[in-house]
Amino acid sequence: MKSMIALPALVLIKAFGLKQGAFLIIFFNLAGYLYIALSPEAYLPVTLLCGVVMSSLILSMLVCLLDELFTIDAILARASQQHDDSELIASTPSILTNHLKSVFDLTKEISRERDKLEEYFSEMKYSSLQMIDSANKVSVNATEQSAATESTAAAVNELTVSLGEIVSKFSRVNEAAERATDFAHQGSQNISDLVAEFDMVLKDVGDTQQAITVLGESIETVLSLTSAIQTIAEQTNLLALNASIEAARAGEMGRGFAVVADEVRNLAASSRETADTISRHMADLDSQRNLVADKMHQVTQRSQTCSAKALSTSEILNHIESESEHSKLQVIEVSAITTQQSKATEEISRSIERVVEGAMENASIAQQTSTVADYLRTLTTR
Amino acid sequence: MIFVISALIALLFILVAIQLGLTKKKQKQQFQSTLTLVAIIKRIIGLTQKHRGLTATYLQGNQSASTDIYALRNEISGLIKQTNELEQVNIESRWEAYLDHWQRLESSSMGLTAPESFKQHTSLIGTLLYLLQDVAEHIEFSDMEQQLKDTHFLWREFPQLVEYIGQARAVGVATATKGESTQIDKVKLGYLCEKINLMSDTVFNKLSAVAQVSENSQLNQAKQACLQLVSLINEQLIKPNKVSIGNQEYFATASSTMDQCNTLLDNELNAIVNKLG
Repeated sequence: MKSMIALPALVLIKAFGLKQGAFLIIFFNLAGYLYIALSPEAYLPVTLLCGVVMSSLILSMLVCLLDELFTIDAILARASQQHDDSELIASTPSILTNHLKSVFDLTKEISRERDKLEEYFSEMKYSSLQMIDSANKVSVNATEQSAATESTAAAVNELTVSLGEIVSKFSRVNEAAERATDFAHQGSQNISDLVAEFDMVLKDVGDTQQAITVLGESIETVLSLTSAIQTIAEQTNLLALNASIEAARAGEMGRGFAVVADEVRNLAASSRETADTISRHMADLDSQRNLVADKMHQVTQRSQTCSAKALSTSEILNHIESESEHSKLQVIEVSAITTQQSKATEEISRSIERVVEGAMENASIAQQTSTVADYLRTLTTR
Repeated sequence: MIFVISALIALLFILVAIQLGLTKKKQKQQFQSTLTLVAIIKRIIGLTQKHRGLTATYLQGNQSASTDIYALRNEISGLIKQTNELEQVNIESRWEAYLDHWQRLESSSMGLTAPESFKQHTSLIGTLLYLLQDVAEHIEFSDMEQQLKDTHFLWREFPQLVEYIGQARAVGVATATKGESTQIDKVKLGYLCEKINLMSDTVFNKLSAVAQVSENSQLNQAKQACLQLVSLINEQLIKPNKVSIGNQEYFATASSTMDQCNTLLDNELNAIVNKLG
């Protein structure tokens, strides 16, 4: 029924548009009033028909407009309740479409701005979450780094102390090397003295050997003299025997001579015995001399060996002295390097301490960043 | 007198009927023009998205992309010319804004920084997406709107999903070209992955409810392509610092995902055109 009443106005509006349709209805009504005013009484039915048409057109227009207004109200109420502008499209009215579209365009632009902001906040929220995550990781890493750096600093401190001890040890090693050099030098000098002494010993040994040779010659002479004495003693014994025989032949006259001859023979025997003893002693002496000569020869050889070894030892000691000198220089150099290293490790230690401070500060900053990002996230979700 | 009045009333009815017929015809013509405009704008959006991706790889040092960029520009120019011939476009203020922005971007895009180029292109595509919605709403507010029930998402959420994939393609291809993923790239890509996941859920759920021509297998395929792209971005561009995937491989994968979504969208739009046309 309602749609039947609204149909004429709806057809006009659909055909000519809202403004033109409304204008036509007004025009028809004005024309109707004019006709009613001017028409003769004889055309009363026509006049009444005209009145009915005019009224129905106005009624149709009113019903149409009211229906549209109620529809729009309902649409706006739904859109408002659901906060969704797509509701404005869901049930489009028949004649006030452009009016509703204007409202829709307005809300659409607002919702686009809202969407942009939402998008912006959504991205900010996501970025803040990422930032929180990163800041937390940085915080954990910085804390771990801080702990690791502290351990490193402690190790470096220990290293510095060790290097200080090494420097001190090197100083003692240097002193020992210096002493070793002195000892080597002294030893070398002593060996040189020893070599000189050995030379003197060799000279003395030479003199002794010469004396032994002379002694040998003297023993030879004594032996030849002893042999001559023995010969004399034998000849004397023979003479004494001959004299005894002659004395025996002389009888009583030769008795005294026999006594003398016996005495001479006894002297000869005694001389021979003495000569034999001398000869034996001299033979022993010669034997001893030969032994001494051999020993002296051995002494000479050993002295020469000792002298050679002493010379060799002297050379070795010289070498030791030279090497000790070199070692001393090396020790001085190493000591200087170690001192530098000690200073470097002290610097490293100080740097690491600064790194530790920085790491702790970073951890604190990361924690603050995380807090700020979290706050940012809460702002974007309001 | 009665005859005269009756004749006038009859004439009036005839006039109203003729006017009603003319109005309907005009509305239908406008409707057809609007559908054509929607198709062209959608095509321009696709080409501008591709232009954004190729410009990003060009600005990261891939000089060989310039040939494709110039070819795209020619294609876009042809479509702009075609659009300007449509009367419907004259009432759209965003079209003028697009033309102005595009002319400026076309002349300067090769000399911009990569982030600035991305920002300009994304803003331009944003204008086009709004334009697409504005134009498509003329269809929704037309007398035939009852036949387009629940299709609003086809020019609102669906193009936005394709746009998110396009943004991920542009950022990702630039990252793959330079071979490393910065923290900013990771945040951007991570955000886009989140958006693609959310939007693809919404879009494919709505589409499966109102799809006119798309089959379930096509929907699942496109949904899987979106999930695989997100997974690829996570594995190849977000987790590692050094990017090993080639820019062309990534561009092809992302483009394939966009193509699958666009095919679905085009099919649905064509179905609407066929239904209403």
